[in-house]
Amino acid sequence: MTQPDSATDSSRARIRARIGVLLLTLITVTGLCGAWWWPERTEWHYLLVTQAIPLCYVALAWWVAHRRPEEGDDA
Amino acid sequence: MPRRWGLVLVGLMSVVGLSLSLWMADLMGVSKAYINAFFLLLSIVGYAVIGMFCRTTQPEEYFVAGRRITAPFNGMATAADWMSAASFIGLTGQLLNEGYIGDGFHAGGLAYVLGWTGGFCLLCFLFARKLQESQAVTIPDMLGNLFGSTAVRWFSAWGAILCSSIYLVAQIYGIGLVTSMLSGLTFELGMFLALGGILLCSFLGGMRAITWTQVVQCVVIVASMVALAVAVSWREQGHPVVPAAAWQDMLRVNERAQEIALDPQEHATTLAMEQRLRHLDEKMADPIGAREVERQILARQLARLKEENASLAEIQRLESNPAWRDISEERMVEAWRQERDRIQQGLNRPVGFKGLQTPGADRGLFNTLALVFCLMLGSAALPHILVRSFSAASPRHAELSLVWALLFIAAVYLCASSLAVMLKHSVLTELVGARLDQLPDWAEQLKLRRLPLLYLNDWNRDGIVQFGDIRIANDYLMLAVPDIMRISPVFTGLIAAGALAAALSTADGLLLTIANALSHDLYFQTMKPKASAVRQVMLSKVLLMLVALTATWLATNQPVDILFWVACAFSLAASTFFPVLLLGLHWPGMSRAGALAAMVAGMGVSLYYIVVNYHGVQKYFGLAPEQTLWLGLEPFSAGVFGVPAGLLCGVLFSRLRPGRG
Repeated sequence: MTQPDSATDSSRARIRARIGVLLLTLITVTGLCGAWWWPERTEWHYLLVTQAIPLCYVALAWWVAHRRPEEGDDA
Repeated sequence: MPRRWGLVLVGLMSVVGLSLSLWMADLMGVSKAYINAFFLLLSIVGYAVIGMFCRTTQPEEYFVAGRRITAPFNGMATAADWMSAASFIGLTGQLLNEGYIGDGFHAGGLAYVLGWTGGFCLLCFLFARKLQESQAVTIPDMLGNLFGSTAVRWFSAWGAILCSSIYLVAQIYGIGLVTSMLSGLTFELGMFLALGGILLCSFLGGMRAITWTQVVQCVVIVASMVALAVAVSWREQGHPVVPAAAWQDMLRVNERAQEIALDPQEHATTLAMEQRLRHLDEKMADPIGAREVERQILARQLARLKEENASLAEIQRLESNPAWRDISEERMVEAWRQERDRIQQGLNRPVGFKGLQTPGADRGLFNTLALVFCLMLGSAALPHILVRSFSAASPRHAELSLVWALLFIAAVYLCASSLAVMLKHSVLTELVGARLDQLPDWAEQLKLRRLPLLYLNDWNRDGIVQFGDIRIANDYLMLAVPDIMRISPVFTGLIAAGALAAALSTADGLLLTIANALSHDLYFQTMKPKASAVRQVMLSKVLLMLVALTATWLATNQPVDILFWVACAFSLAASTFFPVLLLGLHWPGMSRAGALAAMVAGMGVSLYYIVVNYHGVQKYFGLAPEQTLWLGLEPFSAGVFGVPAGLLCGVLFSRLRPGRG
């Protein structure tokens, strides 16, 4: 039973990584295009692009990297 | 484990304790120069002591720190390895001067904030686990083993050396700037003093010493940046919540920017600058004739000044005109071109953080997206960052360490972008509108520094500072934040200690990467595979010292635009390593020929684009930027072309010549 579980976990991790790359691209492009479409709203550029998006990256990286301990190695 | 956390605690307590004691010293009237020098000297000695305690001759310890560093510490070391002088001292000035979305042509400051953080997500998602599982020692070692090819190992070793060397020279230049500005030593002496600190650490203990030094350096970098941001926030708005203070200042910056935009004197300044631009264009079209006319005018002005017994400074100012000095026509035109570029930059500079463009996509957006692409892929492919996965205790620790690293890096960037807003507020409210003979204290200090941070030119001759009259240096503005915000000079020492930690930690990692590529991959693995372990370590140490001295010698020539060359290094790393790593680790069909083709094509295209658009090369071959720029993208975004070229050639050659070693 261990091998199928491990294979499923590995497959889930791969899917999560792909979703992560997709979300990373989406957040970045949306943030930058938003700034260019509303160039006068600099207070929102500050709050959303320079402050919130880097924090989103941290959350995204944690979401992808944070796996169940039984997945494989010695966390 | 508790002992390691103890090291972090000791680092943090040392920073706090030292700051408090020097704050007391400041209150007691101790000179600012002594406080700064004390911070610098203590930093360098502290890192060297850690290096001495961690000295080793064991290859596993020297090359990969024994592969037992847990996620939080490996994350701290990665963050310090990554946060360079360019990002620590350059980002705030870049955002302050260029604004968020640029000038409609060049990449905006937002590109750096997002590009330099997002890359760690890519590294975490795509490579960290697999790199750690490979149990390799260097990136060329990993690629060489993966494809069973000496050619792949050789080429990737040269690729790692090229990317890291460009980055290293920029770092050592940054170290020289910081030490000379704060210690009063000359640029060259300051650089060699700091180099001693780097060598003591990396030479004795390799990756093990560097890792633990970087852990402490990460504490210093994050603590100094956060402390400075909190102090400035307190000074500006009376509370320590940095984003809230910056938001409040941003609203005032926007109001002030509108007032300045409507000021008739600001329009007069812009007109005077545009007139000077046209004048320079005319002079560059007929340099010989222009020189004669200008010399006659200067001769008359000088004669009048001498008759009036004018000050020596006034006479020297006129004599420094390139048309007066006996220099070659080429140098004179170059001086005019530089002046023209500076004025054009001044005209394009946004008053607040908003650019001059209208809503919607423009060339600036494409340049920004291109730069973000290069910085993200470059962060995920820089050899000195990738090797940190080898030192992690397990694949899971390798992934989690990147989350930790991103957390620390994000903390520094959130503060840096907030500081840019608060500084802009001070410039617009205190400096713009001030009389030239009654400038704020900090403006006088910034003008008179040995490396001036502020230049004022009264374009419309009204004796009042307009925004267009101001030019602020990007690179080392951070070091003047305590002066501008009128907070204790202890923060100058603290921020210098942070900047030095940022530059030293990155330089350490880069030096080790270059030395290991030379010794481990180019010499031992291909020429002397049976050499003893002790000999391998010794040769690596000798090469490390030679590389450090060569890089320092190159940096003393001072040709370095830190941010430009760092961005070029990212593009080259992205083009050379990202395609081969992505295909090699995630596509079983990638062959040995494909790997080599991906690296050669990626690096070749990227290098060509950077070189052909370099000003000196364009001048030599008589080229114009319009002829050599592809899609109008800036040269340091060469990775936009290099990465697809590498991916395409990787797939194509793998299909044509399948087979992996």
